[in-house]
Amino acid sequence: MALELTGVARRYGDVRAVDGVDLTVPDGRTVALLGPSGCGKSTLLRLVAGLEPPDAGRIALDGRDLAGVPPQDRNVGMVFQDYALFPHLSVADNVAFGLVERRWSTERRRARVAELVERMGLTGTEGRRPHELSGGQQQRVALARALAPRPSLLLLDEPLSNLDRTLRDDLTRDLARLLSGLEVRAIHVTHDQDEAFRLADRVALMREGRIVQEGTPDRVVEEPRDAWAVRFLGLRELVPPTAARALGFDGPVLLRTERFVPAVDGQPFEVREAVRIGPEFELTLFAPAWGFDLRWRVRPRELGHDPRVGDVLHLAVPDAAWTPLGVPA
Amino acid sequence: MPRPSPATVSAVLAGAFLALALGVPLGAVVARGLADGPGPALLRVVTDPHLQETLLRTLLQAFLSTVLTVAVGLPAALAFARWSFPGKRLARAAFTIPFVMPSVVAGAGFLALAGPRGLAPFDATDTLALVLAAHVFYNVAIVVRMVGGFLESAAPRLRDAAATLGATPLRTVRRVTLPLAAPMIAASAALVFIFCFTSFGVIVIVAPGGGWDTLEVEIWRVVGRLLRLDVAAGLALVQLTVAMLAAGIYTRLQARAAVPASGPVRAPPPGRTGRWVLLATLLPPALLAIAPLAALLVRAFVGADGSPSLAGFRTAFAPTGLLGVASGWDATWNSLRFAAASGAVATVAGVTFAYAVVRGGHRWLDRASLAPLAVSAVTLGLGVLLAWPLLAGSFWGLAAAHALIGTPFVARAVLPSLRAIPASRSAAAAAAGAGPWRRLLRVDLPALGPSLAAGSGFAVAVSLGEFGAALVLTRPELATLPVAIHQRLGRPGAESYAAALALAVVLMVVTAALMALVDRLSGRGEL
Repeated sequence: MALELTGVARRYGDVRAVDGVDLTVPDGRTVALLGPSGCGKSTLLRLVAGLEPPDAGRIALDGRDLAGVPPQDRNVGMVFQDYALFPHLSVADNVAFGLVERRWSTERRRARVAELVERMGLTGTEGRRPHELSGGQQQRVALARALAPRPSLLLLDEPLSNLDRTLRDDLTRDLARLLSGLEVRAIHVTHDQDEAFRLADRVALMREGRIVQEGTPDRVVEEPRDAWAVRFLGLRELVPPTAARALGFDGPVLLRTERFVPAVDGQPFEVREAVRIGPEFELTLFAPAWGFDLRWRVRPRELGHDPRVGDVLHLAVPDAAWTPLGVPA
Repeated sequence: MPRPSPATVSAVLAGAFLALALGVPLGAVVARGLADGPGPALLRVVTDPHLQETLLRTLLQAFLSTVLTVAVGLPAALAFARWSFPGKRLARAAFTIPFVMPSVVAGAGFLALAGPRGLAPFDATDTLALVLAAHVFYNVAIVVRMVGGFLESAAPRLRDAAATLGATPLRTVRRVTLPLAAPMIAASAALVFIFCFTSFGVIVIVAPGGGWDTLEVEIWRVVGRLLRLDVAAGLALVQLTVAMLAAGIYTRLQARAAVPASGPVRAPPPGRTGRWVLLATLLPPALLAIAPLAALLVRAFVGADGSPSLAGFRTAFAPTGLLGVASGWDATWNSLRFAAASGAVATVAGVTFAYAVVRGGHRWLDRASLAPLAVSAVTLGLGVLLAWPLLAGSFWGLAAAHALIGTPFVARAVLPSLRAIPASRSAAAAAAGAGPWRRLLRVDLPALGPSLAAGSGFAVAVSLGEFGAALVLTRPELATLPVAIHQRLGRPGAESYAAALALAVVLMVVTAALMALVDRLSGRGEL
């Protein structure tokens, strides 16, 4: 049982916002859709929610084709970027909104609201209006409201992006704990990789309407598929293409300098720049054998001395440091 | 002694203008209304059965007009906020055009449509139906603009949220859209009520028999025919009280409308059912908005025999030789003179208001600048008549009244632009050696250009179309276009009728051109 997307596409005029996406969200798993703004990740979420129709492709939830099913009949919960809380309703009435639509009895409704208010740490705010709450509280009301009717799928559209850094870190932790306790399937859209890696069991990298790579967070970081993914994930050790060709690789290749080890019989590198960053040095090293610069971080303790510009360092480069990438999509 | 700053001078000028042009006349009305004839005029008025009937009739008419206007405007407002569709801008303009048209033009349009010589096969003059239709035509823009604009920015994401929580579109309207917009709907209704309660031009033209006279019309009749100024003042006090109550309700409600949750989001196109709903909600009010003006155009260019003719225009612009009927040229000339003079005064006054509020911190002037809008035109005319008898009937009497009515439009247009000028810019100019007066001249005024032009354009348009005060305050030789149209409509014969419609077309075209210009120039304002 899963959410399955096959060849899903959506265009606005000439812009292909979502361009043939295949994606599976298994039971109880959280998938993070990670990509820069404008990559189509929010649009994909709206297609799953039924707020917009796809131009092509199939969206199926537990084997049931959702084509033509309006959003209100999909049993999908959604947390919006700006929360979209109802300003004319109290916190309790916001949380109960979906329960009223599903004709829950008053007692069941009251019990469910009380349960969620407590679990979200919103006790005491039940009677307040959304504008009387802090950003973090609003975010939790939005989550409680989406979870209340026990949706079969939870969609989170950058739910933390409107909060400041510290609050965001705290809430990311809360959210991770909540989601792991709930066993609910979720798609979490974000442009923040920390958030994606902390919250998700699987990460899907999205670019220009397509999913370029999908896998566990570890695998995505360890084996980014192409140069774009490397840059987007902030991994900087991409070997310049001409040098890569000269070294016999037929595509882009990543050189993981964190796997370099000082060794007397190692390869010589010349220190071009040395910048102290906290306890470490960031060195710009020139490799005469390869003909390009690379960056390497090291603690002075590992070298036995403070590195200086002009020094020649001998480093062992294990084969595992080279990671060939796929051809860019 | 240091020279006073421009902000101080502005506050003094603005306060003095408001006091002389509005405060003193209004005070005169109150004094006369409470003055002892045999007993206070107000008391005599409220105990007079005929005037009680007028009050009740006015209340009933305004209530019905308001209910109908909301009934027609609300679905359209919801549809506008819900969907985007080709021609949306055009449709929105179609709703706004009637609102900016002079009441005399609107009235003439309804006569051309359903009057004695109108296009329709029946004569609806003096019926409640025609009065109500004209009021809906006039005011539906208020509901569509206020409620539609509010929902457009507040509702889209909330609608999405409601849908994912299981609410059907109809349930969403009931549980989210309507409760959310309720204060705004009520506020727009209060505003419509005020306009219909103090309606003048429309009533005088489409119901000249007096069967649907409002208090405002009654005041004019009392002033004109009987010269019983104390009774008129008493009536004006009654009307003012009701209008102020409604205005108070309006401000309260508008402040209570919840703050929109997010910025505007592009609305989706309608689905298959949506298209029919859209058509059903927009078509009737759009037709109502276009029909009278179209009828006016058709009737003005068609002679008595049904063939195309410019006879009406020829009659209108020929010397009349009749006492109390201004020729088209004289009326146009007068209208332009009043518009130019009052527009200039309103522009200066509006800027002084805005300047005193923003730069001088005189917050009370912000509210006070709206006061002229709350006082009806005939009441203002009566006030001028009572307070400044020497000015009444002179060019400057009416020009001052028009300037006062136009001032809020200038002030409201200029205020946001002036507020938008960063304080650092003034500081930079000061550091460069410019004193406060030089800063006003070289920094502030140039930045106000477009909004100032838009506000002045509005003030000029208001003067061109103003009818009630003109009727009370002018002698025949100072008749403006609206007054001239009224003069012709009051005379028997097809020729006078054709000339009246021709003049109405002239006024309509000039107003439309001016409003198109204002629309180009502004795009923003605080009204």
